[in-house]
Amino acid sequence: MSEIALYTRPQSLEDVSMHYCPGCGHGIVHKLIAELMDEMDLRDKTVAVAPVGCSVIAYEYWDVDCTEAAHGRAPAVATGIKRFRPDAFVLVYQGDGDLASIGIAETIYAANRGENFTTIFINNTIYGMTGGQMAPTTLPGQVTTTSPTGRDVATMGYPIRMCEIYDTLEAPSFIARTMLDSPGGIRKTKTLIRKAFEAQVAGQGFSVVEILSPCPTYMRMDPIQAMKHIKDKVSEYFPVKIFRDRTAE
Amino acid sequence: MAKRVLMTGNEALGEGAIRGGCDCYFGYPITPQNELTAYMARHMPDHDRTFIQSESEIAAINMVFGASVAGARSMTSSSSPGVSLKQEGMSYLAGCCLPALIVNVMRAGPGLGDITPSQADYFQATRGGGHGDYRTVVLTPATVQEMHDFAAEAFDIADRYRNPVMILTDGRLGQMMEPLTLWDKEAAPPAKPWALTGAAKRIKRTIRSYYAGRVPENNARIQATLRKIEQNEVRFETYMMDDADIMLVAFGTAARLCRGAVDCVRADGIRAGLLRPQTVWPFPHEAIAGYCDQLKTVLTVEMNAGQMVEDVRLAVEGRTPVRFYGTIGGDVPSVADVVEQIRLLTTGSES
Amino acid sequence: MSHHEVIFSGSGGQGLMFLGKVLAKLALDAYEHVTFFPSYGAEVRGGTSNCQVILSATPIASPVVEHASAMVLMNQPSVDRFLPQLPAEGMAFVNSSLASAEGDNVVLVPASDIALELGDVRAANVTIFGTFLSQVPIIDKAVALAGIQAVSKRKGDKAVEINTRAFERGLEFLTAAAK
Repeated sequence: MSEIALYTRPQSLEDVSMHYCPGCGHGIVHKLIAELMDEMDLRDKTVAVAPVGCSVIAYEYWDVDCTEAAHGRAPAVATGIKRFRPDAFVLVYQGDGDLASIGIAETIYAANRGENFTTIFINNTIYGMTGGQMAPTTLPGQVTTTSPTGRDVATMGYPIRMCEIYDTLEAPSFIARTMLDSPGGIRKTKTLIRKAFEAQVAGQGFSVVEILSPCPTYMRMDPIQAMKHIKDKVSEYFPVKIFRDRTAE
Repeated sequence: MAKRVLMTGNEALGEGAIRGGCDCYFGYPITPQNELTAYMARHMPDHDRTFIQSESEIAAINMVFGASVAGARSMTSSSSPGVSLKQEGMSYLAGCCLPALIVNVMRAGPGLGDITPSQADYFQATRGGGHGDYRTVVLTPATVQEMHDFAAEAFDIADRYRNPVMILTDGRLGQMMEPLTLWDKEAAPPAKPWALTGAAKRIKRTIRSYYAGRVPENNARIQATLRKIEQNEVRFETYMMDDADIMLVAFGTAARLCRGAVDCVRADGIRAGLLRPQTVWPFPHEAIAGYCDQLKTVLTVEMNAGQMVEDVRLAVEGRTPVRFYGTIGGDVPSVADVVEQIRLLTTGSES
Repeated sequence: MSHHEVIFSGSGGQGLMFLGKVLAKLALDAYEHVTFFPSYGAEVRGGTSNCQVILSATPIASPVVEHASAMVLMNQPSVDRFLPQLPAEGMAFVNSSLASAEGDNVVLVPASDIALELGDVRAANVTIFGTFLSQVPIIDKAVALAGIQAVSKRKGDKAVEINTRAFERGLEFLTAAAK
């Protein structure tokens, strides 16, 4: 009797253990990206940009050319790469602090120029790598080490909705928000990342997928609770939807 | 002799960079270097190369980083306050061993200061400027011709060592026009077997400065490169030094003034000469030290409160008195001012 | 000695940068060393706009004039600012239509009036440049006229014609006045 492989590790994913905490969304998204690189035959032309944050060493997990970028500057770095190598498939991977706080200028301007690369934006409402500080996307009332009594919107402002901001710009080709709340959510996320990748391959300009992602460690929940929290609370503030899709045009 | 053209220093620098093979230019407006950005906006597209006016100096240096990662000859230019903003990116370039050209057309600081010419960013330029152990090769042109030539050569130096190179100049050299002969050597960028191109038919490449637990190895590699640069890339020019017993040390605009002053005092029999560093990192320590035996005094002239003079003192190691004359806050000395300082030295030593 | 330092100053729009650039460019064949230095930045937006041209057989230390051989001063603020720095052996050419000045080495030229008479007040710069070259022949007059005509061409035949007449009127101004 011969064995049939129902599931294998994607070729574009390195055969190493990841350093992420149990229940973290990064590993899931890394895998989805690697599967799509395989399925869309992108591995050989990918130049990826890793952020500063928990996914700082993403280059150890994908089997693709990859550079680091200073905190928040990945969209500018990707701009330089893509302008010099327009045939490369340029992937930017950023967290909420990186993309929506320190790097918001680079974020907005790369999108506004319609730079033809794809950003995968992990929104887990927290700074994980530095130990659970308040993020630009931390929910009202959420306890973090720098909002120890909960985010007080009167003095700390409100969580920033990035897809809604992107949606005010003319140039982006694909803008969507999705969530890792369930196996269905993961499958849906993969579908949307595929569309974003297709937009870049077709030369349609800037594409972005924001992924509401669990951080059980600093959400101070177990992994199942964290996924439920995303569905019940996080997606209530950050509506999950496709904001723009020009891939059909 | 090839035909001479008249250009501003800023424009000549831009044309030099283009002839040196600059693939990508990224910049943000700031006086007194705007003619350079405008020149690149006009001419880079003619050569089918990339020009972007970025959203900030920070974005510009990171676009330079990205283009360099992809194997391009890339550059940015700014003036002092803008160059402060680029320091983070320069540290990353150095940490990731990436070639790039950064131009600082210096103006008066600190803070917003003024748009008047200055040399007050010497420490920032020669000590690395950003965080961590690194240095940037710092070229200091004194003529519009050198603005042009150094820009053309800078990419070769940057590529040879995989290290950022800076051209450190000032608003006066940037704004003035002088005749120059255009660079006519064909740019020959080396192969870059480290660049990120997509990993087709090969193992993947990673560009990084983050090496938890292994930073000493990366830094040792950088330091070894810097020692090579120190051995190979020191540049300077001397003027009337054969019999000099007073040596002026100055770079850029200040060096031009010193040369004029040497001519003036020589007419009166004062044996002054000039040593002009064309690189301030690596610094011509040995060349300066070599003159100590014949000198009564060294006079360092700068458009700042005294920065390069510290390197001169390190070179001289106490063997000769080192004096300093400087103007601050965007003031530029006249030739007559420098002449007066030299005369004060000679009367001082005779009395 | 083949060394000349010239200051051109006036208000923005009077075409002083133009004159300085023309002089610097046309001097390239005759002089090994040439510098042109503009005033710039905030200074340009109010008061005087000036540029300084140095022509020399030897390397030029500073593009900023320290010993002016000549000055072309088109308005009163320029006269007030620069004339006190004029060395005894230097000459100043002052646009007497808009400024007053005194001195042995001051030449008064009603450049704006002459230009207006010729049909375009903007030709005042070329008019006074003619007078300047008649007294300070640092570049060949025919070369200067050809250079001005070449640059004026971009603005049309009318501009070439007016500038040619303005330059010639300026050139002859002192001999005509002496008659």
